[in-house]
Amino acid sequence: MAVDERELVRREVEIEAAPEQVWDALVDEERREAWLEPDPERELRIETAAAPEWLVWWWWHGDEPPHRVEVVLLPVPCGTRVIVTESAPAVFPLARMAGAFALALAPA
Amino acid sequence: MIEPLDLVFGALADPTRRGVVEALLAEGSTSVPALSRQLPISRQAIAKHLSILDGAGLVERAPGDGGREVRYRLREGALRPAADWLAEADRAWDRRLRALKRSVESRPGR
Repeated sequence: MAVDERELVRREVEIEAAPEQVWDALVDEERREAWLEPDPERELRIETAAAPEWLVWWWWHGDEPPHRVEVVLLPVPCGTRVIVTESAPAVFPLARMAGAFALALAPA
Repeated sequence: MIEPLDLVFGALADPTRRGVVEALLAEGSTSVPALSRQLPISRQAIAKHLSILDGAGLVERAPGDGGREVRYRLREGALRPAADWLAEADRAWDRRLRALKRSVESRPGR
């Protein structure tokens, strides 16, 4: 799979539940805020919701550039694989590369 | 307001400047003439890119070694804030996904 250069973070988890049950925890605002860790300063706008497999939102703090968060739900034998990517098209086009550089470079 | 982190990421958004940073990682230091042999752009353009990298705190002039050309090197630790930001974002998502998993799996009647 091609890696989007603007991608900052990509994390996965497997959950022992059907995609529909995971989906409810993503789109119910109260439940979502709970697992996202409540943050009254954070703005969040849903861009796309295709149940029960694909959710995209944008979030930001104050004047900071918004980041795009994409959540993909894949059915797997034990339940659901959840894949999250966070990207920042506006400002951080190659942050991942910067991170790799820094690790190669910087004194520990 | 422009944060230093945005400056770093912004400076690296350009493929030519990434090429310059890669050359510095590989070779330690470089110069406008050396880069102009490696990259298909003018010396003027290279000097401009170096000045942007300098403005973002990513490169600095290497101390003179008596040579004829000005040499540049990466500023130590300049990329660390970006790396720290990314590491923290990774940790935050790991925490959130663990919380999501607990929330869904602990739900009665699933």
